[in-house]
Amino acid sequence: MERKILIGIAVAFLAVMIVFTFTSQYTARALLPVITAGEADRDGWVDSSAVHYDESGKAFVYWVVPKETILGEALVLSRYPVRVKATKGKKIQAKGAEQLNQIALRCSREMEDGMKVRLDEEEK
Amino acid sequence: MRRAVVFTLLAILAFVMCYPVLFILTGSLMSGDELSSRLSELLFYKGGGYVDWALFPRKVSPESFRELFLFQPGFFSLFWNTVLITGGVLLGQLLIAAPAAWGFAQYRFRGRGLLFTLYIILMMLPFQVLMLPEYIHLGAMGLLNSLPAVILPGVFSTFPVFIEYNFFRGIPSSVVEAARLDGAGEPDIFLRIGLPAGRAGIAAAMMLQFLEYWSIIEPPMAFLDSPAKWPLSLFIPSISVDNAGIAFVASLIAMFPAILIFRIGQPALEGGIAAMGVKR
Repeated sequence: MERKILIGIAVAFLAVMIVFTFTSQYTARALLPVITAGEADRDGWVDSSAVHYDESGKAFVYWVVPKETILGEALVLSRYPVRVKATKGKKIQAKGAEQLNQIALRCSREMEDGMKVRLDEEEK
Repeated sequence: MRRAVVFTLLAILAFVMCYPVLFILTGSLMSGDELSSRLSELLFYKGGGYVDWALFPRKVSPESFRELFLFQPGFFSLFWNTVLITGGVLLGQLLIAAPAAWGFAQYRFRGRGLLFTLYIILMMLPFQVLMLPEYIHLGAMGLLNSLPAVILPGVFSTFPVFIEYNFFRGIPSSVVEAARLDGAGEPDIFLRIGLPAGRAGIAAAMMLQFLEYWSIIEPPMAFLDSPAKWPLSLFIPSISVDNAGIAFVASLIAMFPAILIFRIGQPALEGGIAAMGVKR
């Protein structure tokens, strides 16, 4: 009897693994926050939505960093400190941002350091 | 009184033995924030203090399970790599080791003793000694960085031959002779008498080899370059402490089939080990 239960558990376990093998391919993309990324121009002008401030008032942007893991490549948000030099309408001149190639402008969720994201397909 | 002391001592010993499993279970049920705060000594200060661990999570959280099952499709590839490696090795051993063990146990031929001694020597050699020749041969066969590079040497492992030999040796020669007199061919004798009679030995060998190959470390490290082809046993240690939640759940999942197979095959394993002791 116990053996039958154990075999049942083994079969159920395998079934769960098979199901998630296929569904995780989809959920890993679909459930990630979508990010719209852009670049600053060579003088550091960037959309004001890209610049954030911490509790002490220091400015930073989030940039999208590809991170190699054993499970494949993941895009991760990483804080990068910048210095605000000027503002003009919806643009901010952020010293340091000109060095980054993919700055997070908007996100479907509140951005956090180390958060895994996916790029907006249309933007790509 | 004496009984109570013995019971308490055994209970403490049992708790110590089970603690690693409990540790993994507790870690897998902690939220990311709780894990970060508890492991902060490892994460931020890198030594000098102690990890603040607890027997139970402050609040049970499925966060790490969610993260692994929904956001880590690569984990499942590694899981199936482990299944393929283990399954391939066991299937191959069933086809290779059982007839080899039957041959050693039932036939008398020149050089038999020497050959069997060679088998035992090969069984004693650690992987580090065999790694280079295996690497060269697998390279010459063009198998490096593919799963057969790990499966093939495992298929020809001498360990199951040694275990199964002890079982086949216990089959009375009169039974085999009677079958021959009745006109049974050698393959028939092996399939109809040898395999059923040595079933416990084959099961015990397969159980032990399952546990060995399910957590195999060195051959994949030596023969598989691409992390996409790695088994779970290499994935878990490569997770950084800041992803500890995933590591705990992955460990739990990796442990589960081993426990399950052990429980299912425990009678065969115990019977096998006992029989080996009696026959030797």
